[in-house]
Amino acid sequence: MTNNKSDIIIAIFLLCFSGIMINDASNIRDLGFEGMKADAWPRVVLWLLVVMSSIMLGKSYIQFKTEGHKDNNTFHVNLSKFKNAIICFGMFLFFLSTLDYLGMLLGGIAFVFGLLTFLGGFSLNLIIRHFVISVLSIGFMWMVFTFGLRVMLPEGEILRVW
Amino acid sequence: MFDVILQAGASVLLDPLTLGLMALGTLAGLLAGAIPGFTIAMGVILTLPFTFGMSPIQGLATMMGVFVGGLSGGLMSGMLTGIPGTPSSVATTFDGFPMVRSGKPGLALGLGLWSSFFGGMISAIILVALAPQLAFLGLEFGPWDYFALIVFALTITVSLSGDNMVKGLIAGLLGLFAACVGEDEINGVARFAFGSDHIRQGFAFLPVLIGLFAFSQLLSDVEDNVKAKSPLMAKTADPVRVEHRKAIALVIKNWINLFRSSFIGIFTGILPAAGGSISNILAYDQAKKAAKNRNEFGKGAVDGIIAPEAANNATAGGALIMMMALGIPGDIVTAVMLGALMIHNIIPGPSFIQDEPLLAYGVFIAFFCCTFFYGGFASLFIKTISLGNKNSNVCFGFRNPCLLCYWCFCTP
Repeated sequence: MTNNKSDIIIAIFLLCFSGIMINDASNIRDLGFEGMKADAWPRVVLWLLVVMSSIMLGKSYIQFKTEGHKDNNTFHVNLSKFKNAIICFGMFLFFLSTLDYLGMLLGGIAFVFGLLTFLGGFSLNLIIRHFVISVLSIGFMWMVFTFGLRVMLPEGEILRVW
Repeated sequence: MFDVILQAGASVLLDPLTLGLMALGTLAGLLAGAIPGFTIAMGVILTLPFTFGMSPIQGLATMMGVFVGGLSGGLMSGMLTGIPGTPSSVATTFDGFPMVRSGKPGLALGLGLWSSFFGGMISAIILVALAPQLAFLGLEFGPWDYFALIVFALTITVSLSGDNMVKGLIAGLLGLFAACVGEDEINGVARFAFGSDHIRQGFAFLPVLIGLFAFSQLLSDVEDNVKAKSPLMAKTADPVRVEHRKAIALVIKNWINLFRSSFIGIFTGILPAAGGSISNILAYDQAKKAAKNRNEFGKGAVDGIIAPEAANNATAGGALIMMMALGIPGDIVTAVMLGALMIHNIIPGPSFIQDEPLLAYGVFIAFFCCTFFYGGFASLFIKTISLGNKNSNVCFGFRNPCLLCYWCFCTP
């Protein structure tokens, strides 16, 4: 995916995002006080974002049209380049969504082990090494924060400490 | 006045316990700053409970050590991993990380260390000499001046945008929008919360910082399978040796940049709520504007390391002026220090220096000492960290998941 193509996609995404947020700005309550309303500044920022995104879309589209022949003028998006990043992001979201159930200790170990195995490889030797690293590193951090610094980390449903 | 300074100096320098606490605080600050996501404020707040049983000067001196050490501790992780340890070392990463990657980690770390030291020294001298006079400048700031300052800060977006101005402005606007999410500070109305109590509280600074600087860096590190499995510092064949002499010579050679950046740091520190996170970027921006070869910035420019590091350490002096002379916290750290003073039944305010001259000048001298402790400890500590990074052979793939999880621990 060339820069122009990705810029076009990002600009369209930003325009959609701005549209949703401008629409939601109408839900901001007006308390009736004098002076600048609570929705005034966000609206200014969002409309400026619309203008800038439109400029970016226009510029990218013109460049895409003029240089498009180099890339067969197709809009095929090659996601394989971002495979690792997408899986990393997905696993992180999964970790966050299961945090209330698994807690920081078990969820952290599972997340680190999963990501290490995905990035490092799947042989038996590596899996054992990844398991040891994840248990030791997360276990150590959890102990320091829980008992040393007395930070109330999410404990989850399975393992309760407090 | 000199009698008071001498008495205050004696209370700090001739007390082994105070000296030891300052040294310990500086070391703790260095460690805290070196860990990405562990802010100086967190370090000082963690130190606060230990100071309850100390005398006011001992408690403040300890926190001063954490403050000074933490301000520059961030340069290590910023340079070696590309992830700034603290917000005050964000701009250091712009040129420090490329210099390390180009095979000069010893010089990069040396430049960071010594520009921080000299910046801190300049700030300390000005603090002691001009504290009462400089405090009047902060008093003159009105709403319009604050507005002008923020507009001035936003112009940095243009400077940092590089070749693509539109993208830079979009990034700036997204940042402004992120600050709008949550409760409106003036009338308490929820904005863009979509019914979620979590979003209603707005975005905390630290998770946003970690997401923008750390998570994005980790994702780009794992993008390539080969790079993900390669060691962190593959380009240096030998263990890192900090090039102290060369670094000191370069810092002295670029003395205009050093002084300019230090004064930017002091001035930013004097302004309430404008701390090291702003001063390092402001100084970097000004250094880039003043440089003959602007194209070198972002690729490992010497001035690009000197400017932010001198500025962020000099900020401490400015923030202390506001705290001691007016009782107004310059940043979160000095706000915590004000809290510590109140615990000891000392009320900070415009008359504080006159009412408690021994304590006020004792704190100034403690700042001086901590800068020296920083210079000494950083020389040892930087080498240890560098050697640790080189010899551990830790690859991106092993490091990234652990770091990612650690940051989740830091931002519950």
